Amino acid sequence: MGSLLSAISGQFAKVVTLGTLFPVLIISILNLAIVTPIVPNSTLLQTQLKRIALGESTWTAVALTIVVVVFTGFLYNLNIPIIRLYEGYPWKGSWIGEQFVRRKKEQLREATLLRPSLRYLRRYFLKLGRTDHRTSDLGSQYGLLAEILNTSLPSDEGLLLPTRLGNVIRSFEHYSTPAYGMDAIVLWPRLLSKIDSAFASTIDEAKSAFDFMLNCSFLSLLTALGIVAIGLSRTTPLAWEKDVAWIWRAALFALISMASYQFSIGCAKAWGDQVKAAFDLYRLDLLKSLGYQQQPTSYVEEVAIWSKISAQLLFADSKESPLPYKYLPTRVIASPAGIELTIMREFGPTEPNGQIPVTITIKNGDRAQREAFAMKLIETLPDGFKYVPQTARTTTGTSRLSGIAPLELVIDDPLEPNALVVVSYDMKPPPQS
Amino acid sequence: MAPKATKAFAGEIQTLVSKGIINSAEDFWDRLASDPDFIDNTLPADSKQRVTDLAADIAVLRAKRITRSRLRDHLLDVCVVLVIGLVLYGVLRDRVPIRVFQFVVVSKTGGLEPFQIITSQDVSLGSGTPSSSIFTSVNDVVGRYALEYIPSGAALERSRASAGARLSNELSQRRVLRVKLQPSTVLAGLKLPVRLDVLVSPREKDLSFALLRAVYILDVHSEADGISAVVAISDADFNKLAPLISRSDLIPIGLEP
Repeated sequence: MGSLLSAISGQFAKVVTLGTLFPVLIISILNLAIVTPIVPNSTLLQTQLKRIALGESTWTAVALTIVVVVFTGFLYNLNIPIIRLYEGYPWKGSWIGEQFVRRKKEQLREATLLRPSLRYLRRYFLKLGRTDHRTSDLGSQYGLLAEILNTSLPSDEGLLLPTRLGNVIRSFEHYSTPAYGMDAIVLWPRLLSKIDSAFASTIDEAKSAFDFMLNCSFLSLLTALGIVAIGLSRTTPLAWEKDVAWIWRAALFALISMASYQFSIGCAKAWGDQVKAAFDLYRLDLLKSLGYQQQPTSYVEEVAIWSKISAQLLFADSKESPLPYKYLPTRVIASPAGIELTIMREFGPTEPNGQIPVTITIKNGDRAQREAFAMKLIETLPDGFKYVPQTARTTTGTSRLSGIAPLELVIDDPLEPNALVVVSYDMKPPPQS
Repeated sequence: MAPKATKAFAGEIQTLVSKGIINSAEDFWDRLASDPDFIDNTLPADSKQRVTDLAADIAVLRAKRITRSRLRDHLLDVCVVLVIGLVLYGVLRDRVPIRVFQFVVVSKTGGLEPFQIITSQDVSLGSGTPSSSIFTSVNDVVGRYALEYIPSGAALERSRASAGARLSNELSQRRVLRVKLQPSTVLAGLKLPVRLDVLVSPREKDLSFALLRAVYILDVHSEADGISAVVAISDADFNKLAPLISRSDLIPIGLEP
């Protein structure tokens, strides 16, 4: 999901300065201070640096600045590959990567199982009026597990990556799917057009902080590896004191790299919170911009709408039952979200008392053979027509009216795959003046 | 608490399995996670509190394995230990005698040429891992010579230097050359360098014998047809030997007094 990893506000200089230039400068300064003494021909280098510091060598200073700028540009353009390296994409198929993923899978399964167990046990203890340490432990561990499941691990085992950072990023990349049925890969580039510039800046600031930490980690790691290479390339047998000189330097940079990586995980969570907020705040604007007039009234309905839109945008050539651009007069909201129901409405002949019978046939045609439940039929009557009280019936027998304008009928009985339910009611036309 | 609670919980699970309420411990956790009324409706009243207490303890323990980070929990401890260690190091570094193993390294620019007498300017002391095969004192080395080229910075190993009497300027006016000596017991068991006489015995009748006095034998290697030796001889002896060397046998005949 490259576009989600990129800067979005257009404030290039700010993003590059905070996220890339600063790490390059900091690690360069550390290199000059700590690594220079063990570099071959270091005396010459130190003399040059001293001349720059004293202002004696302008051209060397200019050359050094150019090197830093070029390296910054290079690192900035490598941003996404570096993030993906730390996430574990390039090596998740290796033996080590597979072991890491296996551990994460066990963790996800355990957390998914324990979370409701902790909740039900705590609920039971509270019901008994217990407020001892067990109840509070259950509560705190439930909260921590919920946080891990929502911020540190993706919801699906198939999405797991080998590293903590990878799973934190995966978690917010796929937040919009369980939350709203939105496919982030398809919809994020479109959502960007709706995010206002002030909010985009806050996302970029969070991303810059993350880039800063990750680039520090990456550059420190490169430095540590370079020091090890210098140390091992020396032909000084039995010179333990000289080995210590590069070993402690390599260890220091490895430590900086690890610490920066740990901090980058926290920054990634903060960045993820901003991305999630963008979906929360701007998704309905996006729905409108995409040309749909629907205003979902429930979670289930919204998930159904976005699932349909995501599929349509992802597979533009598929024209199978496309989502209408506005609500049809008759619609059904049902769980699970996105279940495929076909609805047919028929009007009968006007009866002698002036009432018109209406018959609505709902068929569960879900290809996944799921059972539909918690169905709510929403029926918009033609202008001026009114529902005739006490006339609503269903073939399943149990239904209740929950609204008049528009007419809302809740059908309690679940609908088996390929089964039908017929709802009927009478309406009367407006009185003729 | 953990092993005790685990054991007690296993006992309770065993009882529930024997009563046919659940199939296994996994079944217990699966049903607890999937059925909000499992505790109320399924667990027997007499053991409900015991089972739920133990299940709560086990669930919290299992959850802590996921939620707790040992590194994060002990970060402060690690920092404190690190700081104490650094302070102790700073306080003690100049007070504790440190045994440093020192050894002789070649400091002469360009390294040591073979069969050149080593002076105190040619070597210095370095430090590192102890080894018995390396010279540890400059005084032990001065007056010896290297048997092969030794680069600058390398440790001076005993096997690469002469082992016998030490020299000062004995080789300065001499030529060093490799010659073939006839097998002889004279050299057996001697530590080189040694000084002896060498008889030049011509293989042709019209040539006469010659005696080279006070020849320094610097290095020897046994070969199939004799002994290959590195010798140091004076210019006069060199002039005496030169016309005969290809048509004579060289026989070491005795030690110089």
